[in-house]
Amino acid sequence: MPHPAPAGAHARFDACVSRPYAWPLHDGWRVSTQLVLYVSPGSALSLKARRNLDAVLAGYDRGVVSLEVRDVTQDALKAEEDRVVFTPTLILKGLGLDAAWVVGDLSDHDTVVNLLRLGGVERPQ
Amino acid sequence: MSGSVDKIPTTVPGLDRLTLGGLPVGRSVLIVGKAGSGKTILGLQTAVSFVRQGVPTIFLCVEESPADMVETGDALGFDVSGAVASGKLRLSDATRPMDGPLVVSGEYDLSGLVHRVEALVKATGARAIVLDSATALFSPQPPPEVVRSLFFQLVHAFRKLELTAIILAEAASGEGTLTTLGVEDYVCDMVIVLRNIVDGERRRRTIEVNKYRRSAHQKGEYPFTITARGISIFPLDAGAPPPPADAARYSSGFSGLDTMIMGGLFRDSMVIVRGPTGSGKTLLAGLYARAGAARGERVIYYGFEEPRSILLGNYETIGMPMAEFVRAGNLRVECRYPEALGLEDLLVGIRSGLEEFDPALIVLDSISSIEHSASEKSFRQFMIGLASLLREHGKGALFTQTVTGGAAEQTAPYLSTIADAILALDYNTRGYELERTLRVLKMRGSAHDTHPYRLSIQAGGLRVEPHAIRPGPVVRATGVLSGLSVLLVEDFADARETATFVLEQAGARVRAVPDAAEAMRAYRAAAPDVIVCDLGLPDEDGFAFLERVRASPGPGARVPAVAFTAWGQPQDRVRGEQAGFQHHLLKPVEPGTLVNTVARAAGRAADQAPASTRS
Repeated sequence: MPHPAPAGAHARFDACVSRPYAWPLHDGWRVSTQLVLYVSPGSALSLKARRNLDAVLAGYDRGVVSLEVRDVTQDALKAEEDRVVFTPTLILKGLGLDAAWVVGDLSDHDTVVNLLRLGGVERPQ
Repeated sequence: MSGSVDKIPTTVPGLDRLTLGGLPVGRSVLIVGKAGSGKTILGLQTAVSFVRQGVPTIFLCVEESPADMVETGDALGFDVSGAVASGKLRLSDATRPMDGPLVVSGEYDLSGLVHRVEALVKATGARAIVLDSATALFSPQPPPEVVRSLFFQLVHAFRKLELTAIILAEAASGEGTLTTLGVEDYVCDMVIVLRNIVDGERRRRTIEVNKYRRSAHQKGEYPFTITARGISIFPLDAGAPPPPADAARYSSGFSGLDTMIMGGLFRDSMVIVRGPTGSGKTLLAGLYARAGAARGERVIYYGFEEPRSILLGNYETIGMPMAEFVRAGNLRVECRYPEALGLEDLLVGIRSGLEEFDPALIVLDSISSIEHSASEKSFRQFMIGLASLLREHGKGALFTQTVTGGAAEQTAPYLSTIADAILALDYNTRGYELERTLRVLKMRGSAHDTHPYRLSIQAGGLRVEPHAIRPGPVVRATGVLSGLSVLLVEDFADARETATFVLEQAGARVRAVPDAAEAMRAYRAAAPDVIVCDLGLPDEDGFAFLERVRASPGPGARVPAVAFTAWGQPQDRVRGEQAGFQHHLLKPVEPGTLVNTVARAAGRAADQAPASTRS
């Protein structure tokens, strides 16, 4: 862990409100953030989105931020459930917010970073 | 042209007539309208109809959730939940997620939706799709070139999947483009525009087929309504092909009229009976309705002029009771005031009457009361809509129309086009006599007598008799009858006057009387050389009169007599001979025939000139 373990209940509370990364720290409290990227096979935009997302997620703890890539031709019913209309679409689930949809090739890396931050997941420096 | 496009009917009432058969199979159709114009209802109604025709259909819900669509459709009686349960209608949720933000980052395309549709087609075997709506799909709106390319991608995918696609889109408010997106109409094979116009105080909805590639269609805007059962369109094309020459005929309910039109009305024809107030229109309408009911057919009689009890009472009084047919259930009499109803509601009422009761005949008495309750334009739309409705259902109809300028008053051209037959009732006053006439102005597809017939109202109905004299050359001063005295017995004033004129022109001295009693007095005063006598006379008929003449003393008892009558049955001729008539002239006759017959009766050579051919 990059941060010192809390020494007591008070310290732990302190950590909760002030620490910027992987809040809350305790495993039982940890938000598991799932990212689902819907792509279509053979699509240049989808390929771009994957590359962009890989680059964005490189600095994140994959234990906190998980990624699943779904091919809309294989997972059409799941895509319907997730109300995916455009591809590529990235869905962020399990954030402080209920969910968020990002449509496009993710060429603007800050979009995903900001959404994760809004949900309390900071990228390690 | 239209043969090259494979079409699937929508079964939306009236729409398939505008599109001449339905929507293009495997192609895209754009339905454009503003919010509240009925796009979604039309899309849903068509989708359910496709399902009913055995075509599995996908409905892509972008604007409202599938649950809302089921509710909307079920409320309109489309049984969307049933269609969904059958597995033939698949509602797919493509609403924008509301439970979190939607952010755009970079470029995207519609492959997600396309692949979803592909998967659904594979799973359900769908052959049609409704997208509700393209506008919502591209909201917020990307740059125009992006919209265009995405929309093309979608339509191309539908095409590849061989789906008959119905794409709904929001209409633009300004001039220029048809839709807010401004691209959809270019790639669709057909464009339907729904409009919602406020006309005076009333809201009017119209539908227009704006474009139909490779197919003819009805052009222009047509009124429609949204009823509790969905959209109902009134195609205005009233022009109908003339009935085939061998079309089945049925009695008008009035045997005299049947004779005038050579055997009766054509099945499923539309008849307009015109005339001034009191000329017998309602009576004729009643005969028509009763005859249908008596044949065991179903008839709906819409009375707009008086309450039901009064109408039925009037028919009872004149010896044409309707009650038995009403009780038997094959005559439905509905009286209402058109002022209390909008014309569209009236039309919807008539349509549901046609569908539920399935009558063979309907009567509207009178269309003039409808005309007076509406603007000229809406009345015209009503009549044309009604006519197409009746053609669509293959029903016979009789409309009465009150004219104020006499029966000769010009009918509006569209009414003449609608009517397969036009009958004109009229009356003239001659002294104290009221002389009624009936004339067939038009009888599409059939020969008919164009001359006015005189009409009498009697218990149980109407009676006609042709006028005495046909138009024709009058024998002028040839002297063929000169010096002859003729006693003319004829109850109808105009016939009496015309026949008198014709005989006097040929040189006869004519004593003309209206009934048998007067005729007897005239005969006793001075026995004529020839008697010309009508058979149908008030009080004492022509047979009885002549029998009295034959039975009277003196040489006058053998005076030659000519029956001048509309009674042409063999038994009438036999009775005439028995009564003592030597000649039987069937009305109407040409002037020359009358003169020659009188000449022959008097033992003179007939005149050569006016032996005109009988038409």
